Amino acid sequence: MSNLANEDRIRQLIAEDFGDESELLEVADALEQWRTPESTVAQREQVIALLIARRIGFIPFLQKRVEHLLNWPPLVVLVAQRRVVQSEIWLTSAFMILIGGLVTLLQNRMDNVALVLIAPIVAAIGIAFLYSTHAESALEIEQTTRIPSVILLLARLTLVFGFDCVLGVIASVMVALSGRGLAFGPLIAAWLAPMAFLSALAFLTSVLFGEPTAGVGVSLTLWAVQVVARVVSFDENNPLSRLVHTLPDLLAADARPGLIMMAVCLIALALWLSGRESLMTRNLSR
Amino acid sequence: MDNQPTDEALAYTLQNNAAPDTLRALVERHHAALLGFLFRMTGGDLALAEDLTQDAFLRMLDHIDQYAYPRPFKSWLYTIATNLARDYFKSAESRRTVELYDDSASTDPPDDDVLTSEETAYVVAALKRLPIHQRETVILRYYQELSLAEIADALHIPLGTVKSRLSLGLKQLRGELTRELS
Repeated sequence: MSNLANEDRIRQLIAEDFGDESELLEVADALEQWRTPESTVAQREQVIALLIARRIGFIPFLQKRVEHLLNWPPLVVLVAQRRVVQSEIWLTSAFMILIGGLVTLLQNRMDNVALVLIAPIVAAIGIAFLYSTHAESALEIEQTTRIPSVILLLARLTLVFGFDCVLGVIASVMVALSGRGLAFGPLIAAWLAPMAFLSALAFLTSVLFGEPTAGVGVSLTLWAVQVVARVVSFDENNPLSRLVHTLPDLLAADARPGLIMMAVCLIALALWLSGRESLMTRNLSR
Repeated sequence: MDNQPTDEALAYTLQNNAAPDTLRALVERHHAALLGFLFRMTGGDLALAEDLTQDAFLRMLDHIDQYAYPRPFKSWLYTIATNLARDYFKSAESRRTVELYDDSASTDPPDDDVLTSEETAYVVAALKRLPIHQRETVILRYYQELSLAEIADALHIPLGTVKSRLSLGLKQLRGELTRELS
């Protein structure tokens, strides 16, 4: 056992903390009486041996972080739901949006960009198929899981919409890099808001009717009218032309903030309704 | 010029590779200090302090991913040691084998080698009677010689709280020692 290196060290520290005149300095002499134990080589070697033995199960920091991330509950739900989404949705969406990108690259005129006309309806059709009361392949799984079915549905919605967005971004990068006078930012803004609105509308319709074809029908009709109004030149005196032109232009730049807000509201409503539907389904199955 | 890596650099290395040399370097640097701290926290129980010191190093390795470089490693290590001591006291209290917060707490004499006088026994007993949060602050400051900022970092408390705990702790120690010696 050894004393502290400096016999007056505690007195110095107390003086530093409370001043030279402090009455607390009286304690210093008493505290200095208690020696500190020495650390022996044997003790240290024992600790080192224990640590070396323990490090066999040591998981490096990065690996731990990756494992932690992979076990993050929202990610686990997303990965699990990826298997539930029909493979046709992935394949068709990828094919159609990339076709839209390629057609855009081949276009002569840039007033009606193919990617902007194709991407929203492709996403909407895919999302319409995420919900169906009688063709629900994952219904049995959902009824036995502790995670609310609304969360599972939201996960699938996030996956498919996210996937379509990524495809849209890839196609937009291709178009922007091709030097056809279309900038990346405005191109994304042009398809993103209509895509969000049309997908939300298709989803809500599917939930309301419990039938994906209803969602597909409504979104396809609405979008077809929009595309026709842009692409086809009608006679101005034609009553059909007047009717088409009275509808709001979903591709107009000033409509985008409103479309995004409406999309959020429609999704919230659809999820709320699907939760009620799910409760009813559970009660009926009991 | 000293080319030794800093504690923080060693801890950072340890996060991805628990190499024996890194472990050895950290143990060689901090074993004595941790043993001294836990020896005093346990009221002079050397065997218990040795066990807790081992546990502190094992916990350091197990939780090395939680070390946030470049936070001072010494403070982080003392956080671990302090938590271990608190856990020990808590479990000991729940088992009712020791009563650390009671004035009538056991004041068994510590290791004979460490005691040189009756006065030392009074110091040990007086320190044991301090509330644990004051005791750990006093020991960290005057025996382990940590700066006020390092103590604040180790105990996750504001600097003002460190100062008030030291002041209250020393006042209570003075009262206890005066009473014992008179």
